[in-house]
Amino acid sequence: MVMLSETRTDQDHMILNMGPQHPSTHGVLRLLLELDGETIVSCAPEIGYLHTGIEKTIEARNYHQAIVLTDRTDYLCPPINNLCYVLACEKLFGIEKDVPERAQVIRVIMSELTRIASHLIWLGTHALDLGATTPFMYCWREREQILAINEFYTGVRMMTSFTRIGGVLADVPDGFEQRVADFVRIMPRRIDEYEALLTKNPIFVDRTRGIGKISREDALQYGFSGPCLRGSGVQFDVRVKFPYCGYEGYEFDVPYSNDGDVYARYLVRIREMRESLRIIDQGLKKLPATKGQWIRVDNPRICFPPREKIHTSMESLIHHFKLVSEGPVPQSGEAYACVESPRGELGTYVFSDGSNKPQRCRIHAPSFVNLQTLPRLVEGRLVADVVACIGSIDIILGEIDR
Amino acid sequence: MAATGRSESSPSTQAVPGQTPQAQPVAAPPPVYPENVQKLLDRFPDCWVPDWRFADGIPTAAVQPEQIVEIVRWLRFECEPRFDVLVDVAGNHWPEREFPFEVTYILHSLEFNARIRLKCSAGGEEPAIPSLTGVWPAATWPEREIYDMFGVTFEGHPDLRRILMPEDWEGHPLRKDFPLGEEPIEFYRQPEGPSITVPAGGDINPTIP
Repeated sequence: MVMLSETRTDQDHMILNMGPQHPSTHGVLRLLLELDGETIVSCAPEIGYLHTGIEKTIEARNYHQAIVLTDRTDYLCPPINNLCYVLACEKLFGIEKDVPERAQVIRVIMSELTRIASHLIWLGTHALDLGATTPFMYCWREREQILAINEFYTGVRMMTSFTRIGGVLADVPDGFEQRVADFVRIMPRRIDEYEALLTKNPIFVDRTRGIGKISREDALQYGFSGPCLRGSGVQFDVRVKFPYCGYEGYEFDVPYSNDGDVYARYLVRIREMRESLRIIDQGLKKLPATKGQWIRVDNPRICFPPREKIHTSMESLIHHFKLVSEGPVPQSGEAYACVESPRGELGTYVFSDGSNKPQRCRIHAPSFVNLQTLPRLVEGRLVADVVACIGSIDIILGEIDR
Repeated sequence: MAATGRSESSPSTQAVPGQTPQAQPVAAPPPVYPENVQKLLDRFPDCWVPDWRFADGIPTAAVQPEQIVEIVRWLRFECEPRFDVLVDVAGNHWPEREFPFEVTYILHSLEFNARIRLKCSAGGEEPAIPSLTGVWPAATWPEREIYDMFGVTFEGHPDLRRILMPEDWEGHPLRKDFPLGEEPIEFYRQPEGPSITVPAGGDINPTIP
């Protein structure tokens, strides 16, 4: 049984079940709230309703097959999940330094586009929870453009799975740069629109400022990461501290705020969208210089050979057959890779015992760690503040339950 | 993080002028460990560096379960650099090892932007490792998850119960002896022909006769 506070036998206190089917809990999160009037005495999150055993399933797949499973953890930023898993595998295979620059640039552009798409969903639903219905429609409108870019490049809108160990599946099609450039051109004005609706809106500010406050020390102790940590004044971003995919070659700021409340996290994420646009813009400038470059590591034991070679070269056909039937085989060992997901530090920890399947694949989900702090944020506040707090830590249940 | 060599300070590996290297019985040079691991080994001699490939380059040390709380306290409050953030707690099961349940901690130092990894293994019928919740509250849910998935008990944990699986679930799903659940699938070759059933627990890509 769930342990609520010692006073729960008190007849004045009411136990309220919030979720798992509740629109403002962003998925299937169940919160047990102990209420004194409308004040929260204690809060106990119950998770696991979306547990699908992805980590266990990966152990029965080979290294290539597991890529599509990682999409399904955090379903709002599949390219970033793919990237994290693939980076860990590349370390395990020892090819992380050999990935061609063009593949890296494509990965960065797609990651940042997805970060904006994920933040748009967060912004739309967070504002909707707090009573503002218009930003929801606006955010969906722009997210649709990003999904159209996804579809243009990969053929699917959400579960893109275009990342491969050692590079990406295919080069970007003609016209990709133009589409992304159009998006980057219009997006800053659209972010201005959202800010005009929310940033100085007295209702929104009343509902968010001073709510769900957490200090810098507590945020570190409780393992916060990502925009939540930066909202509490710690300038930590994996893209800056442990650069991957050539992020050290991009110029961008890490927005942060010292307030540590819901409003601070809102401001941090809004500014992050603008920084992502800067990164995409620089990525687009790097694309033409690498035109024509092959987009995977040239190692036939790990990466698929070019399609044309399979038809003309016997060796390539054999390599292709081995990679499809058996998959790449790393030496035994382990590797941890981390990336900056829209929710914080996403880590994938792959263990190998020298066979063609991962011995274990641990997914360190940022929302999992961030959510365990929720009781601390809401205790002593009102029920309505719970909704604001859940929205501000931007949880994705698919990643929490895995 | 610079890897300072222990060999510089030890005279046994330095070449002596006038003598051929073959003439002198030279002991094997002491292994060179990363700086922070070396500090840890000097302070806690019971720790050791596992003979294993760490492809990500994070300095690693294995520790005895009895010492883990003392060591992370030292790393967090006294060591230079201070490892003030607990990044991840991961469990693993190696059935063929003497201590099959392995818990891996990754710590991070904000000031020095450095990381260190600690490994702690337990075995026996009821594997147990002291809990780190007293040092970092961040360990609460990850430890519950490892308890749920591997059945490792964390001594001193304030709220150790299942987190992802239902409370009445039997077994620990990520153990290697726990079968990967699947339903039998029937493959039909032709409408009138015999059907072929793949039993649950069989190969993922079975060969159809």
